Amino acid sequence: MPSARSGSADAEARKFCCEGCRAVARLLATARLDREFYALKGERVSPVKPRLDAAEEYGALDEAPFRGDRRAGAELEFFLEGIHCAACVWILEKLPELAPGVESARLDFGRAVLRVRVSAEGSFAETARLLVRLGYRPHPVRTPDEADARLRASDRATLRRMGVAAFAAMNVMIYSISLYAGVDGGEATLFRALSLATALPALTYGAWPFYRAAWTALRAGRISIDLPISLAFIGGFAESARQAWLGTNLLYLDSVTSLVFLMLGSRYVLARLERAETSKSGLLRALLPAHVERIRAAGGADGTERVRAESLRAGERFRLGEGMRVPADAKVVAGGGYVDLAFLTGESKPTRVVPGDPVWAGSRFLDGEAVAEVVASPADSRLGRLQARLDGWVVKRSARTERSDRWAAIFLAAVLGFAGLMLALYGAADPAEAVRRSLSLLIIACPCALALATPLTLARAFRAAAANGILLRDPDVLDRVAEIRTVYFDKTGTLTRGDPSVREWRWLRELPHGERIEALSAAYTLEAGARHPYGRAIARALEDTPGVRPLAADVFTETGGAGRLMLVDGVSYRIGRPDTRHFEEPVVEFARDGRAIAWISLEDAPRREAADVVARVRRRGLRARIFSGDAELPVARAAREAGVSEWAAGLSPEGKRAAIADAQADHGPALAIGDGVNDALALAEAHVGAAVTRGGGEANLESALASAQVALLGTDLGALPDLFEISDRYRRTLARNAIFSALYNLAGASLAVSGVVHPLVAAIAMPVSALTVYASTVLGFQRPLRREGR
Amino acid sequence: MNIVFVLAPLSLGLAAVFVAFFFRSVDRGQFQDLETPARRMLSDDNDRKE
Repeated sequence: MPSARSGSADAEARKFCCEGCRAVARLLATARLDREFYALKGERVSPVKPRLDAAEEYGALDEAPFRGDRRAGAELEFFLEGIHCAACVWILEKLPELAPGVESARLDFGRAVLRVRVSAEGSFAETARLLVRLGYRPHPVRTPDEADARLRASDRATLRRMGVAAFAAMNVMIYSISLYAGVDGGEATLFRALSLATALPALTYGAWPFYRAAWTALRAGRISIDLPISLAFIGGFAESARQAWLGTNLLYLDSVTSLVFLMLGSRYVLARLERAETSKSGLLRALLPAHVERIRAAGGADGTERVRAESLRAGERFRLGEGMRVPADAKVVAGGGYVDLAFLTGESKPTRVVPGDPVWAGSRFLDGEAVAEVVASPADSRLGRLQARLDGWVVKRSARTERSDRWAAIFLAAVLGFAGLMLALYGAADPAEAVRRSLSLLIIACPCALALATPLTLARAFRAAAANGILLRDPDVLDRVAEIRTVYFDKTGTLTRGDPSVREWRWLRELPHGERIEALSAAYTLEAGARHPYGRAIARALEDTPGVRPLAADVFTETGGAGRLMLVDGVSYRIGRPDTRHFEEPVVEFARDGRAIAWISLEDAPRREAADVVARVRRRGLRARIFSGDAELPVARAAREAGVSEWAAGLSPEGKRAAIADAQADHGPALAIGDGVNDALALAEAHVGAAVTRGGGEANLESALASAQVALLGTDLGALPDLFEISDRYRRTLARNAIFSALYNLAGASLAVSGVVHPLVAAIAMPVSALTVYASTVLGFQRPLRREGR
Repeated sequence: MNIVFVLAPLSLGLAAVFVAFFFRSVDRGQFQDLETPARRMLSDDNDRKE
């Protein structure tokens, strides 16, 4: 975003944090939308990711399976990275004005999903490129399909049933109050008839899903939670109808209809929570390129063709160039270069590959040129198999909600039983008084804390988590977090930023100041457009050095694996790998006229908040440990800086899982937090697995997300202590609600049975108690989370 | 008090009308996305078709 919030007059003159923002400003100015946009955009914006792959191919979006018939209009959903604020909603829904052929664009802010509809002339590829230029990285999710429509229809049906149940409950309550107040004669008959008539739709149409589920379970030979619920509904209605027929006021239709509403509401809230689960097949899509350059079997001189990555088969050959993602497990057959395996192994140093070496799907080819032969197609690759394993994980229903559902049914049965018992015992002695007391009991008893407060508390906890950048996939995580004894941190990308930065310039000889600035400027010019992470780190480090400016190079070459070379005024500069010495840590050599003048050492710098987070985890009495696939030296350094004394280095993904399994056997439940595919198995093994986005901005998250129950979406590790805090509040609120509800119901029931409360008083006490429980739930999450150390 | 015999069923009919309105709003997807509209209204152009 523009660093100064001046007027919108001149997009060119202002300073921008990145190319993306400048492009957005230019685009907005062209469409004359800039004034409104910058008025909306507040001060607090997180920096837009500068790394937008302009070369990324979206051509496939206009072909099957995304688009069946090119001549017709079509709809596609994109998941967007980089949704921040209201301005995003605004600009994204302006797409029809910015891009020809786009008919409509609607953003679902909560899910960060944009639904785009294009006309016959429109193009999804063009739309995706425009989204990139606007600073959002689009991932095509899918075309809205039948499953989607079914889900939506079932959502709507539940809402309708809830509406009917609420309508019935409210109206029956009004009639009931008149009955309790003691109307008689013709009017009492009228109100009884109206109550029955109003309750009927709630108990047939409204409660239908419970009957159906109970029946389905029965036919399969199981007794589900829906059975007692259904019996309570039907029994309550039948008994009320009988009482109405007998001419008494012993109707509990208000309780029954409220319960239908509460139960439906609870199901609805839970269904929506479960929907928040992210798409499962994200892993392959996130890490595989859309297109590859396949080498034709019978080709000419440069016989390559662009094909979709998924279509690669074993035995076929493809070309690899700087910065490309490897599409399949393959063997290098010609050329060579350096490969970043960090996502798979956590190794921070690029690995050199020569003909004969394997390269794995999903890794990034950093520099060099190579031709590789596919060994395993994308779906059969190591990555693909990992994905298949992860797809087996399913979101479970919360055990706690199931329990509370069961208790609600038992509760209702117990209350009905008690009331019946009292009538049977005292009905003969004093019929009027017995009826009055059982009526009070039926009215005053309230299962709210069980039926709706539990899902509501869960929903509040999910909301609080989302507001702090924590995504929960499994409701029971909130309970499990409280049992954690050990926290396992991954190093690369979790405790560290996951992106190299310059640690030290070691000049090999003294240079006068002017000469040094000249050399630094040369280094900056060399790396300004680099795609290699080291090059970018060097350019970033030099950007703000006073005096450093881009030079006009006469000759500029990228010498494959050897680095970048240029000629300025007859002097040659080169930045590349040192060929004379071997270093423990990543080091590049800066040479002038063929002689090394400096060594630049790079490191994966720790996140600023890492030590603080570790300290806060410690303060809860938990053990902190590091497990990493990286070499000993960087791991030991990161451990020292984060204040962790126990660490393990050089672990394979399987080794990490074994480490977690052992630790859990010895020290009790563990939480593992990591950022990449190499952590996926460990995250799945741990009692709680948490995925975190890399500080460096690489969107590697989806991979770890596939196996973790928790995702920390912000770029801040501080969300981890927040998760503990939210779990504490969740459990505290539930306990408070349960205690309050138990006390209320016990006291209420005793008072009703002993005849102290009049049914009318009971009718007021019941909603008041329900409101109290809801207020307690809402207040439990009201206070903002405390964040120390910043 | 006989008026109650007319008014009570009448009120029920009125409530039924509201239920019908509720059904309509559900069908139009007004409860589908509860988060975006709160932000969408911040932009002040009112010429949205949908």
